[in-house]
Amino acid sequence: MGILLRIIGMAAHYPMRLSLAYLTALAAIGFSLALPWLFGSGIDLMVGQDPDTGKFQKLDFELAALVFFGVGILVVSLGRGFCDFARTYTTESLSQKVSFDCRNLLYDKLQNVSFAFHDKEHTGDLMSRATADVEAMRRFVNLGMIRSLDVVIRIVAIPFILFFLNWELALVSMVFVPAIVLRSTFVMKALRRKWLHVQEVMGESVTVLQENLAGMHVVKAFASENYERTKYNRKAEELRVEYYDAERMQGTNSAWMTLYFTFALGLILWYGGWQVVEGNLTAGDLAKFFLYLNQLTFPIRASAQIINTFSRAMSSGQRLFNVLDARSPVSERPDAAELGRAEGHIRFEEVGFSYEDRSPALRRVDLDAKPGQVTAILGAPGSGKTTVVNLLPRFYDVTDGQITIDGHDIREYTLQSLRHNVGIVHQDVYLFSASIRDNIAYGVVNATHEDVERAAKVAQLHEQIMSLPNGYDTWVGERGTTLSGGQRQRLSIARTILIDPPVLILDDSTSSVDVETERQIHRAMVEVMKGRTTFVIAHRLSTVREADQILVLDKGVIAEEGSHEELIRSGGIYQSIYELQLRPQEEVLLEATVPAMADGRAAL
Amino acid sequence: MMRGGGGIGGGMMRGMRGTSADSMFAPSNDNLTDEDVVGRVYDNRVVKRFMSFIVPYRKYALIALGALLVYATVNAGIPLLIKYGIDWAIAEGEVNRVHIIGAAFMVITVIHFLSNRLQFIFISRTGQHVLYDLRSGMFSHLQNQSNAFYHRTPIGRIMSRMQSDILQLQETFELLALALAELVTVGAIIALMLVVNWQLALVCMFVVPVLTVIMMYWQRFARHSFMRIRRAIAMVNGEYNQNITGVRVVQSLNRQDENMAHFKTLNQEYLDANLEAARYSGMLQPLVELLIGLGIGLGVVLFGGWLLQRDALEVGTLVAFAFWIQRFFEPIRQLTMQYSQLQRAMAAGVRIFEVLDLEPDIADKPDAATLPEVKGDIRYKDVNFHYNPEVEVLRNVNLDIKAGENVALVGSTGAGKSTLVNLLHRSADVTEGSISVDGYDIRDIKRESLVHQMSMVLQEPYLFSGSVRENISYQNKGLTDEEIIEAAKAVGAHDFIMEMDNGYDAELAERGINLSIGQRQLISFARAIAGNPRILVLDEATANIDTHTELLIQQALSRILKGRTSIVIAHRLSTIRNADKIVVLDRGRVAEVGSHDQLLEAGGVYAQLYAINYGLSGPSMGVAPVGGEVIGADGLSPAAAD
Repeated sequence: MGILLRIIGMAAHYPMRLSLAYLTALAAIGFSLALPWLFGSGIDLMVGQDPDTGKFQKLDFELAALVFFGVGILVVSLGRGFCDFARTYTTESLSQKVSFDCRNLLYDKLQNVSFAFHDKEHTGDLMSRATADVEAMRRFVNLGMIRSLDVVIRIVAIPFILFFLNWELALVSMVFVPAIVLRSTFVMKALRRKWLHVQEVMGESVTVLQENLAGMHVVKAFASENYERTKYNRKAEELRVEYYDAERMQGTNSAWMTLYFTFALGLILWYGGWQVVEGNLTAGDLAKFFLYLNQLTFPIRASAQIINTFSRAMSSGQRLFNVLDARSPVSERPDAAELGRAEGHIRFEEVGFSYEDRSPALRRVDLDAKPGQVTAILGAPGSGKTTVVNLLPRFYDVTDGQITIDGHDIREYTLQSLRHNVGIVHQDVYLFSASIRDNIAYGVVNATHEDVERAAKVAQLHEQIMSLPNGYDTWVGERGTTLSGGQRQRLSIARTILIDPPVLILDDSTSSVDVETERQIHRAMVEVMKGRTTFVIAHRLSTVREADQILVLDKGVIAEEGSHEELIRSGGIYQSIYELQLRPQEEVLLEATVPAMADGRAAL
Repeated sequence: MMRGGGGIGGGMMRGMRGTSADSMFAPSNDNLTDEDVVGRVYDNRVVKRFMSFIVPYRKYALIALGALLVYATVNAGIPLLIKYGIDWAIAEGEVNRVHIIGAAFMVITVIHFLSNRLQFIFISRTGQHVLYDLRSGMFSHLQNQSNAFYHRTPIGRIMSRMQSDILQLQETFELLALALAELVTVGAIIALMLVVNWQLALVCMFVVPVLTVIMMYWQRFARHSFMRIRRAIAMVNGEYNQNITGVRVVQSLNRQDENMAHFKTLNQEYLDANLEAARYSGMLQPLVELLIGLGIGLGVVLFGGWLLQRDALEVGTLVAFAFWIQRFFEPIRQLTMQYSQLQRAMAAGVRIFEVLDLEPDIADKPDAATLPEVKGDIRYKDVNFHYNPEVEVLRNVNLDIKAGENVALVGSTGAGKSTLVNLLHRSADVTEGSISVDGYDIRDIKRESLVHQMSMVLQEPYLFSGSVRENISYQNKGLTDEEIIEAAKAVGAHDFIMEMDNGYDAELAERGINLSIGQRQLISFARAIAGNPRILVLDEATANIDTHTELLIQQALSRILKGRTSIVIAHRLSTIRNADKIVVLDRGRVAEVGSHDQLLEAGGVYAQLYAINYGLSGPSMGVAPVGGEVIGADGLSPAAAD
């Protein structure tokens, strides 16, 4: 209930639209209830009953009276039409405004909430919140809040009018109402379950499809087409059966609902006709009964749908508010200061960190990186290398100890100003659907083309970009040109050069690329590291050897630290990593490149 | 999201073949405006084609149609029964007649109910069968497409055809059935009104032509605004998706404010588009009400009252007309609203049939023989290959690989290494020349019988959701547990599999993403050797994984390769050196073939590469003299020691 109230609260931000929607809805009901009355009274004006024979006879009447009813019906219809229009429009605009606000809030939340949140959530699921759940909320505002009033009033008012006209006939014609209510509650529940099930099966079949398409090269390489066909057909068949099952139930239910109304019409004709003959009811009243009952069809049918929007809104609202209320574990202090351009002296003091309810990823990590120093971080997968560098820009917050920049705890600063000072070069960077230029300038809004070009040159990417037909305007990202891994990495370097942060994190863990690419990446990395405090997650011997200090992590603890020579001498983990992983790199790769063909061909 | 990846229109088919499978900058043929392509309201070919899918279920369809006609007619006839109830029974004061009519009404009601239910059920039954056939048919066709097709067609497009296009068609199918019922009802109402009282009918219906003209005009604006909505929502969802996937970059580069501002404009456009559409669709409401008002108020009450006075009509007719007129306009309004749905459906139909019409580019010959169990001799004879005549990928390749031989393929990016091995399992057919296995031309045998005797490990490990066991036995479904475990042990995957909950029965998430990339590659190695294939191809199988896992695989490699014909594309010198035969590819040609020592001695391209990378690697790599040490050492590295 709290959830619904909260949605209503969002709609109440637009009091004008809300009240207008209700007012016009009420007016429309008023007009439409007048129509059967006018029509029936018109008939009573023209036709009466001979009290002796019980037969109908024509009555004398003023033409003016008939014109009154005729024109009255026209006016009432028009009034209803315009009120309906106003109601539809204001309701639509109200509900669209609410979903507009919702999308904005959600977007903002999602881009600001910390990595810990995104680690847990799947893109597909977040997308469905932004689409299906927001839509469910919109429908609730539309149907659940506004339309429901319309339905409730009709369902109350029409039987009331009918009782007023003739209570016995009203009772007879309402005899099916309990059946309708029962059916609505039970069948709707069962139906909802069925549709949920259809959705599930549908999701499963989509997964099979998606995996098949994305892994087509594997399917081909193993000639598993027939196996895949069987797998998919099984899901498709299940989907067909479930769909049919749900549709049959829905169809049957809808047929029953129609049946109740047709039966009620029949009873009115039968019992009401009898009453007219008996002289207890006028012909006009009988017509009114028919037309009023007809008006009840829509609200009762819609009521099931409306009840449905309530339950949908509850679950969807829950899912939405869960995101909107998610408290980012990384948040700014109210008195957070702006960090100007830092010197870049980074210290980890007894830093500990654990991801949610998991064993600690880091324990008592101490490190001291002086401005301009390069720190290489090594360790087996899962030893905590990435965690160390993720703590620095506060993608996560330490759970123990503190990290300082130039002597101040990083939590004293605003996130934005801290992150301005810490650049990250991702190994496999995400490209946005935009031109190469915009992708390079992604972090610096007002960068000129010259800036971008200069950065690309330093990152050893300029020439390859220029060899593309559209140069810097080449569209990349989804549906765009694909860049190779090495090119993406250098693009990420170019981005960072443009931002020019004093502290830099380099993720460099590919094991092998061809030699020419290797050289370009290396040159670019050397460039970007100049004059910055740098942390490198390294797998490349050249980088490791050049580092000022090397940290070897083992299960979240710093196992060794020192320079290359010191660590080799000490004969610990580093030495064995060196023997196993780094040294073999020197026999890297025959891939490549007679010098003559190196330059032009490596690009394309 | 449904629309987000939506590729529509001919773009998919227009897709030019990529110049080279290895090219880094594949030209993009997609354009973003494809969403706008909308079909005609009625496309005869689509409808005909669709009908052919109904033919197998014509029995269901005919029952549905029959029920639908009965239902619609009864629906239109109920007011007539009311009229007779009033005029023949009530107005005459005959209670018995009232009972007769009342009982008749109940009987009609039952018919009404049964036909209603029947049409629902059989429309659904027909529709679901047709949809199954479409889904299954599309999927099956997609399996027949070669890798080249998937290379040039984004998956999102195919997905949207299989999902949203089919949903469109499903909606339309139901809509068409509904529309048919409405049309029959309207037709029956017109007929009944004319029969019962043609003067009153004409007066009430004189507004219909006016309505038609207005609706046609209205349609134009409405369509525009519906399209605007679709475009806007695609933009909004695209932006959402991008921001979620790229959130780590967004945060590290502090782009939140700019992104928010950008998103707000997109969101605003979507809001505006919706409001515009609401104005258009709302506009019909007063119009229809006006027509009902005119019909009932002026037509039935005034004109009908005048006719009644002149004894030209009875009172029951007035009541029946009031019913008819109310029912008359609703279907028309409904149909107009669904106009754009019809357009979308036709476009969806075109796209679906496009997929069904795809010709498989690699198909077995009708008389293809089954390849018997092979020894593993492979022979490339004068092989030329290109996707695009202007760019030869392979030129005059001759290669003779003996059973059990271990061949290393060496060459720079774009030399055609991957293409060479891909031709072996017929992901494409050679343009000229031939490839044979044990003397059988691979185009003359059933592809499946060939491919089942070979395995590949690719650069990107790709697994399917399902258990570890299912993944390892992906190629050979009949493998025993022992064989599966043996394969996992052989590649060094057994230990981490046993550490997972449920071990070999552990469920992998979609694409196996709950495992690290290295673990995935280990399982895909196990998958490749389970079932003991005669021929094994490793295409840069260790390029994308962390060095830790690479080490594991290096250790297992010689064991894996023993006793099989193998072709390995690799970087690592130890792997290359140990090969029985090294093939050096240069721009699509075989430049040299021989063993490591032979090639060094020959002093050709290989020797040159070797010298550059090992002799001179120091300065250019920024690595000091260590290179020399390694070259000098024998056995090179622990990885090679095995």
